[in-house]
Amino acid sequence: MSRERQLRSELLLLRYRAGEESALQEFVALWERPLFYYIRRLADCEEDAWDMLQEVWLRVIRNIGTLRNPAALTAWLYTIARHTASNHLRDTVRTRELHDAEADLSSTKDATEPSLPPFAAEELHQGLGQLSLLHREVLTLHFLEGFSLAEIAVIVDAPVGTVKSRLYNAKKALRKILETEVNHE
Amino acid sequence: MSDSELRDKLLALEKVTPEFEAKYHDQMKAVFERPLTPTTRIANVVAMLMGIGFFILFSTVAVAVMWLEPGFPLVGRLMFAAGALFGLAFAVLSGLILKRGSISLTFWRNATLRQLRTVHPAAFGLTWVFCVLVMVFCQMMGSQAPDAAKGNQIILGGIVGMVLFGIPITILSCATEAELLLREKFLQLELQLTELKDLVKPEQGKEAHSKTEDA
Repeated sequence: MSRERQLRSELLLLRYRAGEESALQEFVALWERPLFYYIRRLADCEEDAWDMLQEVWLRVIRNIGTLRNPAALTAWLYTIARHTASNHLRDTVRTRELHDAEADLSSTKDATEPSLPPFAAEELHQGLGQLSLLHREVLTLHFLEGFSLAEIAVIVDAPVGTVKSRLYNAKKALRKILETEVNHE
Repeated sequence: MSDSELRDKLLALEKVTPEFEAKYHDQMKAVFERPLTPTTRIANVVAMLMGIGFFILFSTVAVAVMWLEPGFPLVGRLMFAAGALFGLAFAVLSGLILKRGSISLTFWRNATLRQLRTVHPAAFGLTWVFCVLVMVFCQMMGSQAPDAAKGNQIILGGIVGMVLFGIPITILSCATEAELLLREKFLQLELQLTELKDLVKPEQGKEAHSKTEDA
């Protein structure tokens, strides 16, 4: 996660607290693209994703005073985004989560440090769309903000071990998809 | 490719439908600002006219009693002056809202001490206006009281009231402001250092690369 962006965000929130109203609008502008990208990976259609993003901001504005640790701001934003998306997609997410949780457990034993060969951003972007929901989610968080396993665990509300194996499986699945595509070409 | 580059490229690859995005931005604008409806516009015009009316009325009466009723109590004259000031403040506020054409919602939605853990400058100012008005009122009442002991009691009450309300909020406000200012300075400094580090990094990379090529 970029330290510069983190500091800029903290500064904007501080200015908002001090009464500078435009700081909140700048803050929203700074975060709306990455949050939209993440929500879009969870949502079924684009229109829903925009609606969810708007709801995320309403929740952020409502709860901004409860943020105790400004250093955890990025993870806090993504946690809110995930809760909002989960509420919207309650039924479908639950069934998919169950399915994917089983897949995660099946290969936890060989969950060593995963790695991906260098693929182009376009390929990764395409590949993400073909992954299962939970794999897509952890990889998006990993690629987008470089979150640690512990941070992802907080966001997706799962134990670190589960996240580790989920990330491993996600990378494996993504590699398989991308390599298949390369072979086809 | 660095993490930051990958992030930027992924974000750039996300294609959005302009109509949906425009709709979102319109809705977000409504979150930050609520445009004046014809009714609220009329209400603001009425409030502004009433404010101007009160200002003219009270200031005229306050000045007139000075000439027509020399014996009129000072407290009464001060009350008229305060009324004129409040009228003027209302007129200015309504005028500003009308000029802007919208009411900003986000800050006031959050501007509670519980949520922001800070003293808003408006709250601070209002508390002090209230304290000064109470203090002046107590001074006037105390000095005009027939019994000196009672008068002193009233003045003392005013001072206690000011100490109880004005001083704590001043200390709280100053402490919050100082804390925010200090944190802002630290963050700005850290941000500048991070930006400098990012600037220096590519330069160092280039130097290392040229040295390797030379070798």
